[in-house]
Amino acid sequence: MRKVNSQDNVFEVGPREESRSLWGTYLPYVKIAFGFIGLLRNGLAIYTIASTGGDQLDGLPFLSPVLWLDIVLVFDLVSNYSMIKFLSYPVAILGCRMWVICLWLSIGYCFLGYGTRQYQVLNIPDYCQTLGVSWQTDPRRANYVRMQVIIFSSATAGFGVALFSYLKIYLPSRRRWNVPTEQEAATRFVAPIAPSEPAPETWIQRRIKQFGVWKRKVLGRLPRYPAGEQRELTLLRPFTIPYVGPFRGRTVLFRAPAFKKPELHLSEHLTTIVQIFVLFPFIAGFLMAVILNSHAYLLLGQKGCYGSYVSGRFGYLDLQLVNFRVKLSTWLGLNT
Amino acid sequence: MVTDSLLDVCHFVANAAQYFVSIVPITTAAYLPSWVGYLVQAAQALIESWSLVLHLHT
Repeated sequence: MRKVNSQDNVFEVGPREESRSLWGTYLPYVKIAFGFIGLLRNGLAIYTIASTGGDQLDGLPFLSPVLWLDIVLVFDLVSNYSMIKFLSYPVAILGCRMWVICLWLSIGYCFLGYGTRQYQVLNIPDYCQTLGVSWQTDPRRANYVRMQVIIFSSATAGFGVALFSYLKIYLPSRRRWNVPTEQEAATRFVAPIAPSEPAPETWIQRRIKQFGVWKRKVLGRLPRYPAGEQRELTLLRPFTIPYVGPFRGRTVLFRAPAFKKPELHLSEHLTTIVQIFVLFPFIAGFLMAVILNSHAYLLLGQKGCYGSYVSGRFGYLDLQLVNFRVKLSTWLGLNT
Repeated sequence: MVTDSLLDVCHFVANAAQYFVSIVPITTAAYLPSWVGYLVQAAQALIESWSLVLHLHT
């Protein structure tokens, strides 16, 4: 519990309210950061595919099956700001294309042998030559392919559910099919209540209404002090514009955010629901990767013969010969 | 066999030379996904899904 001193009066702010407010304040910035990381991830993925070449896709590394989800997030951000809103359509088209690329990659990893040429065999002892083992492919690869498919399927299912729920909740079109009979309509009819004389809307009230989602926060934070006193309301300290005006019979100094906090519209709804769907597959992937890369040296056996395989125990940071692009792909979450 | 000791690796290879296949990574495909990538993606998913919690709460 923290005591906040507002001019002469002291009121208390609970830790729960404080942390929730902090999340609400900084979440847009975190999303912008993730948007940039997502764009970097997509750019790196396209560069990796292009540089690998059409006839060498058997040497293609694992690329995230949810690259298109990054573009959905970028669409969400772009469609929120009027200055760059015109970019939302090209971004939506790019997102669709990335989904197709991710689908193609998933099919390729499963059935077309993408990423199977991993190692060059230098020497096979006589005993191991007739076992029919493909030594150029890591035996752990099959687990990652399964995880790739699970993540892609979960994300796609999540997208379908999110889109369906959005249409079901927000679109009133279904009402069209529920046409009541004249008798039913008569029983449903409720005479409208005559509106009372509305009080003139103050400038501050209009301002609060303009900020939509922030409205409740503003009202919740208005201190209940005697009329006429001047109080300060801070929503987003570094990026606020101060306004002075009447509100509920008092004069208040109201600090409004410089931009409007986005509503939970279609793109945000989609991003959020899909992220919930992929959260648990990613946690499962994390646990799987921890187990499969548990030690620095992995001497894995196949039918009685052994080979030494690369371990990503420290995200390849400990391996000096690994090129920078592989390390960057790993740490950006592209290599999943 | 998995180990953190290079000495153990040398002992193992010396004793199992007739069963040990020498291989070297040649493509970037050899570097399979690490736990780091999944953790980054999971953290992103968790943070982004938090906006729904915030929205329902306000």
